[in-house]
Amino acid sequence: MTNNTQHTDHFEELCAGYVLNALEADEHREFEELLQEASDEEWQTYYAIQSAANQIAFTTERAEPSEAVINRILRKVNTSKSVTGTLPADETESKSSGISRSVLAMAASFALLLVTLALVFYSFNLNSEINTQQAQITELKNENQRMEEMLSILEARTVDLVVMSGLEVNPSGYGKVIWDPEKKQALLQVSNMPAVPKGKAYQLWLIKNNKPTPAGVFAVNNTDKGSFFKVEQLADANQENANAFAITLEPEGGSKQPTGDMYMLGNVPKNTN
Amino acid sequence: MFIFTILAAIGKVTHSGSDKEVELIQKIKAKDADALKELYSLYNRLLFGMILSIVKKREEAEDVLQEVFINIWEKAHTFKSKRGNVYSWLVTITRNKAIDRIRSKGYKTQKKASVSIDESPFTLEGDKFDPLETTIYSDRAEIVQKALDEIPESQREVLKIAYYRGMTQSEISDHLEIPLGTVKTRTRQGMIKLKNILESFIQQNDQ
Repeated sequence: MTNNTQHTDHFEELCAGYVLNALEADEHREFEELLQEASDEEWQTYYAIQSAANQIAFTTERAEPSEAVINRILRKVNTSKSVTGTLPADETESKSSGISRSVLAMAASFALLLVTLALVFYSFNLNSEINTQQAQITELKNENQRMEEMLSILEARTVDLVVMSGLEVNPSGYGKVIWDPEKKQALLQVSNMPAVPKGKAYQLWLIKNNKPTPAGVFAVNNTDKGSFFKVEQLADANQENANAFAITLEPEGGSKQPTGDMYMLGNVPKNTN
Repeated sequence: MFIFTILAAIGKVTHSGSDKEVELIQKIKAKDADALKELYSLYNRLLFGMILSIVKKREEAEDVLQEVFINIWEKAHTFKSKRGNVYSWLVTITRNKAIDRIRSKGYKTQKKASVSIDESPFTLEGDKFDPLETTIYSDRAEIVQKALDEIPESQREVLKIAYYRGMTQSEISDHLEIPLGTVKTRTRQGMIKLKNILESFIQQNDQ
């Protein structure tokens, strides 16, 4: 038996099984692959055997299916037509108005969301602005009150004035102490003082009988303009025993005795009265 | 006259009818439901009989028939007129659908009905159907039956089980208790003979 004959027999064997749909899955695939490369002659064989197999259908007894079958088929194909084809006018309209309504609703919701967010943001900013301004107002009120208190010292019937000059560490500095011996309050003004380093503070001293007494701690942050401070620890200060005022740089919170460099010194003038 | 009638019948079903049937398929492709209805009226009895012989149950067979025509509606564009006539296309689709059904997992769990191959659905009676259609089918059925009768019994048996009951060759081997190779050989020999007999029969009548 030649290879060709073997091949033809194999082709016909698979073909006969294939046209009857009696092959197992692997052979079914094998025959379909064979067909892909089949010669014209083999294709003719295939068509002829398939045609012969199809003729067997005539020997089956015809049978009448129920009317329901064609009705179901037509209902199904008509449904698939209306699904894939054009929608009826009413449906189209309702669908399009449905779409436009939902689009409008979405747009409105989105706009509302934007407006709400904008209002929340604006309100948040406004609140923050109000808080800032409130803080500024409070600060200004405090400043105003401090100024009024300081100016009130000048309202006293008699005040004493001590002018202080900058010393070696800061020669350009200068200041004044204006105090009210009756109320034992004083107003300190300093200019051209360097800003205090971190952890340090300036301390005012009342020197009487050559002994320094702490008279208040203050800090200078803005060196460009003069700074005013109210001094309320001058209980012991009076013209009789006060000799001088001095300012030194001390640790923050002040010291009991001067420890740092002296920045200013001003002698209390002798009472001429 | 008899031969002329047979040829006319063959022509009606397999050749002359082709143009009209191809036209129907074209219309179905364009989603013409009336064309589908017409094709159904031409073939539903033949195809339903085929399905019934394979799936046995009427309800199941009607379900398959519906599936076949929905498939035709959806797959009309795959019909290639060069590769075969509409009849062949429909018969192939129908047999495959019916066989798919009995080979499906769900169907296999049902108890297989035992039907003798001697209960072959071959028939010539048909008064209840359209007379012309009956003539065409019964004439054609007679020709094919004669051709089958000329095939040796052992081969005919294998072809009938495969065709009418939709069994695979392995299942036939188990069923008849013969080697698979024998089933394959008998199938090949039987189909080649059937082809040759039908061809020669048509040629004889053509002269």
